[in-house]
Amino acid sequence: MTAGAWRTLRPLGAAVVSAAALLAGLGLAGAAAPPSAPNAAAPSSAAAPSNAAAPPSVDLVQLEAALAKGSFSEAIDRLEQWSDQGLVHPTLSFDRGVAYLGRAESSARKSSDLGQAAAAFEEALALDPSDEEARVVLARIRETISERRAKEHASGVVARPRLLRALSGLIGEEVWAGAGLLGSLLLGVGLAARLLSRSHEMRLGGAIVAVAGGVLLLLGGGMAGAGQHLRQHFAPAVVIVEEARLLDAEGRPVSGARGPSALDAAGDRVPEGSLVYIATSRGALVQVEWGDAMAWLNAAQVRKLATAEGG
Amino acid sequence: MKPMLMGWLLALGLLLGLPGRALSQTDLQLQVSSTEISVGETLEVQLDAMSQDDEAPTQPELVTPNGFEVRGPSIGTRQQVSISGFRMQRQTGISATWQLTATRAGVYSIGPASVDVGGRRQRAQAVQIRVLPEGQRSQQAQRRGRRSRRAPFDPFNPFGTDDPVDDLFDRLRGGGSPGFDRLPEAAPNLVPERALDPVAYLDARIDTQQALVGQQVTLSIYAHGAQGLFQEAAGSHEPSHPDFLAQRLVEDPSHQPVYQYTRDGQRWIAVKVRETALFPLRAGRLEIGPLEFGFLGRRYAARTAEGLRRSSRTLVVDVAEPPAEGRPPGYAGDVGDFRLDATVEPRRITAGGSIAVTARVQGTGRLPGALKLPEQAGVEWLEPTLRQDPSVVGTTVGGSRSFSYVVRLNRPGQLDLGRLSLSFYNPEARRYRVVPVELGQVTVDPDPAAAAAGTGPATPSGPQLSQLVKFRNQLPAYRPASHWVDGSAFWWSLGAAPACVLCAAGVGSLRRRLRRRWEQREQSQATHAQRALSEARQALARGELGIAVSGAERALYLAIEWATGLRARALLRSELEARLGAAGLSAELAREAAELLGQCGELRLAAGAVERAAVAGLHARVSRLSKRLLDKPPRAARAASADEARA
Repeated sequence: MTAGAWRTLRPLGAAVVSAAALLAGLGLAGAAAPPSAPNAAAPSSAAAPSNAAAPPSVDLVQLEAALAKGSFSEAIDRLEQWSDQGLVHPTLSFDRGVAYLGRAESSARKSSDLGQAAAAFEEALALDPSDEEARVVLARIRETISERRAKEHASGVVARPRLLRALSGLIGEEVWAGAGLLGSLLLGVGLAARLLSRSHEMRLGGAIVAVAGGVLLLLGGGMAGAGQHLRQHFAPAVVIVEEARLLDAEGRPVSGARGPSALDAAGDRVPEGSLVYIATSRGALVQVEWGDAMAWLNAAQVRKLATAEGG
Repeated sequence: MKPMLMGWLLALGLLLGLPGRALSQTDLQLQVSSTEISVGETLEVQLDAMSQDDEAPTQPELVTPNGFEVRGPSIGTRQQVSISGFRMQRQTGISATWQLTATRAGVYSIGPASVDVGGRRQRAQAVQIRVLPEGQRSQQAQRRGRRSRRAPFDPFNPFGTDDPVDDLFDRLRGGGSPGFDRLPEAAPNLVPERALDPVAYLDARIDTQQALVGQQVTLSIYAHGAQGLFQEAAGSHEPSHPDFLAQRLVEDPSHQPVYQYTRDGQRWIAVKVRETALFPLRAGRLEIGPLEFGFLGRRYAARTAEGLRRSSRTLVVDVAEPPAEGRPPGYAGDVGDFRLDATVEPRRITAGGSIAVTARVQGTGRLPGALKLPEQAGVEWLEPTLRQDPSVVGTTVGGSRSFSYVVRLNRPGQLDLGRLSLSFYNPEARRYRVVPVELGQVTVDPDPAAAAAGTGPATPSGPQLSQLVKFRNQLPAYRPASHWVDGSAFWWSLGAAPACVLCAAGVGSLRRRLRRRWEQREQSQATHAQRALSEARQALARGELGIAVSGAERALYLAIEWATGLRARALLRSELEARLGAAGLSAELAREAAELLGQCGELRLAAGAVERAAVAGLHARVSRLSKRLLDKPPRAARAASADEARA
């Protein structure tokens, strides 16, 4: 091929290589985390997501009658059995919370009822984020637990979420994804104006729009990817005992404050009803993210929430 | 002088009185005053924790099972100095003592006990004890009664009469060889296929390799010795089984039958030294650790207190959860085979009063810890009082456990108490069973005093959280939310718009360049030279020889201009060769070009007398030369290259 032909093909080659690199990079980023990737942190029997119609044996009217009669344990046993069978539905989670809450306030209460109720409402909210009733009652349960701890002279603990989770949760994963798509569109329009227009003003405007779009694309795409990573590799769970002591990897209690977000020495104990994220499990221990720190807890002290992804 | 003498005496005393071995960082020792007591008797548990570090052990804790009332701990501090050679060791520590009063008969594991040393908890091994029913005097207590009373922890008599390990062959002492011969023959299944050691070894075995969570696995350990009689030395390390609940079936090995057998002409004896019922707590491959055991006897290792040490092998059990299929609601993990009966009394009370419900579970397997209660509004079940009567049939654990509930009834009227039930999995039948007991009806009369005062049952103060939410009895269709990000299409679409624009821009640029190049090519001398040659060839084919010669001449002029930039037509023939050479053509090419142009001129002038062969030859030579000239880059490009080279 002559030198003239090389000179002719050079810009096309550069454009094709740039476009291919852009597409391949983004495509690989998506392919790296397949949508149905099993959760890495599954310490207990995972509940497969179920969007199918409920089995015929789900008779909620009968359970409602049992609750009205004061037979909370009967309703709880049945709802727990459905949960163990992998039936995931926000209404069933909500009803489980109602049953546990009822028993927690009855003479038949058990020590973990309030934590179990918090876990059930948190699960209902995770499955259906638009459920305002679950959100309100969950907040009230946590207030009740805080008041009870205050009466018992236990110190308050505020766990600040880690920065990535806080940013990712700021406007939601889907909104970040939308921002990334918008950035991509702006980048495309800006590049078109910059490369294809002959007007100086259009070329200048296109460059500005392309830079802004590129920044938005990187930010939105990056945060959407971070949200996906957190969702797929950390399983939400709720502490169901009065206090869960933070442990090290060998199961020994962690003494002293656990990190910069601990307000006082009580930072080595996770209060009942707290939301934690399970990263991995080993034997009877689970490694959790609580606040901005990672530590280990006894697996029996937390309840892993069923999610739409399963597990 | 006297203080110095006292100092030397003290140092000598420490040298002689304290062990010379190097102690570990923290030395923990858990001791009990007795391994066998009766219900109502008090047991003293003492934890000695000594640390070499500056940080003394703190916060002693003792794990105690249900069935004991615990008092304590009372904590005393200790300091100890030992001199070994020229090295002095100083230890600080505590001694914590608990008092445990037994309330129920059974076999229990006391401990582990732990202390906090430098922010880390260190644990001492648990100790097993046996609690006999009330009024049944323990053997140790009887022995203590016959002998003088000693302190519960006598460091100078570790192998004293209270030691649970007696000589296995006390009964045979004095009998000599005839006694040995009277030993029963070991059953074939007790004898391993080969001797694991020529002198002594331990053979550990479990009755099943696969079990369910909660199902009994029986661990049996036999000691085999080839050097005659032996007894168990003190300081055995019990098998570790952190994933099991354990109940010892053999409490005193000295009461076990002793067997003898012959292998390769050598006389062996075998005795069961441990038998434990283990109940798996979780699913998985669970390990049972080795027993470390000391054979003590004249022909084993009579001169050391530790005896001839041998360990059993580590065993593994594959444990699975009971099947999910058919599992009843509220199944609490009980495995075995049980019966349930219950009594209720009285059947008539006043509102606000209480009745007693006593339920009794009997059967085989680990006894259930709870029953499923028939809850209802106005009926308050208080925590039950448990009484149990464990039993062992063969190696199977079982017995009975009674649950005594006090049930407070607040609402007047005829009340159906409902059904008390127990669900369990029967591994032999391989199915779940639910055993219910109907409790029947109770008449609750109104409380006249409460009615007169106009007060009903106590109502909780303030609104309850459970009143904030209402049970949802409809199950709407639910489709889990999907995430864009989970599909790879989202990631491809992120790059699609910029990539499309870049591709379009590249294609547009290529198109423009190709068009420009094509236009340039259309206008170039090379193109015209090719066309002229083509026209000359066609004219030659038609026999128009003059046109063919003119075409060939024009092609040659254009090729020369392409290669050299010279317009050769404007030059004199005589100077043509020199100018072509000066323009960069080789001498050969310049000479041939000048010669061919001369021939072209001659043939053109002699138009009528030209032979076809001569014109064809000229055309062929012009074609070859033109091709050689056109293969060279145009003169403009050569000039640019030369400029670049100079630069």
